[in-house]
Amino acid sequence: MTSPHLLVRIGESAAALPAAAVRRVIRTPRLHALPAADAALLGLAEFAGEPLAVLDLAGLLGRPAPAAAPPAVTVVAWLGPDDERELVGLAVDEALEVAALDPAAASGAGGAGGGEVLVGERPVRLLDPRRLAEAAP
Amino acid sequence: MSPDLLLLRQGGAGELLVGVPAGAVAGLARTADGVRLALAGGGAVAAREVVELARGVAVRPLPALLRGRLPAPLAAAAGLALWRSEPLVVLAAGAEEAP
Repeated sequence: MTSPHLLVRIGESAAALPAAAVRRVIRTPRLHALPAADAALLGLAEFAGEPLAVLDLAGLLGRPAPAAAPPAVTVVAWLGPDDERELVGLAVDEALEVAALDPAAASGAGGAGGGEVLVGERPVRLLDPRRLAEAAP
Repeated sequence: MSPDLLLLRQGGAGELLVGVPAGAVAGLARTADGVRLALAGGGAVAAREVVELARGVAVRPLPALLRGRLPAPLAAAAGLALWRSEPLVVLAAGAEEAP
């Protein structure tokens, strides 16, 4: 069964988050960096009157951290189990589109990164918001 | 959770704001680098300066994704908060920091 997903670009690859887990897509806000923090933790920001931790999605998925500037776009998303979900910012290079994807059709590895589906000819990594919340440093 | 927080500015490039539950502060002393707070639990927190005692600050639990990702001095963080639109890390009462 398909459900809407937000497709984002991370470097040369693409990933998809269930649209239901996305609260908003914003330009990456002003970040208050935490010196000596894990490279995937870009910093803290203010979003809608709340503190928001912004993490580099590529870093969470085990890819190299951004070079100088943080990714341009932040997806504000709920991660974790439904009864304990937490709002975090996931910085990505670009928000691409919303597409109807079928998680059951995904192939490949599981885990936070999930499997892959093809959108057109582009392989897209399906992200599981519950498992992503448990991504280890 | 809306505790009173003693807000500290920690030096360095990040100029990070850190909140310590006021009830956990047992003492305050000046040092060559700034201030050092003694905590009721026996630990201590070092900072460049004390900014303000903020009353009733709404503290959000620390997202699970941040555990293990904060720098060592903030490993005992309990949550996040905003003060005048600036995000800050709130230490757990009795937390011990190793600056």
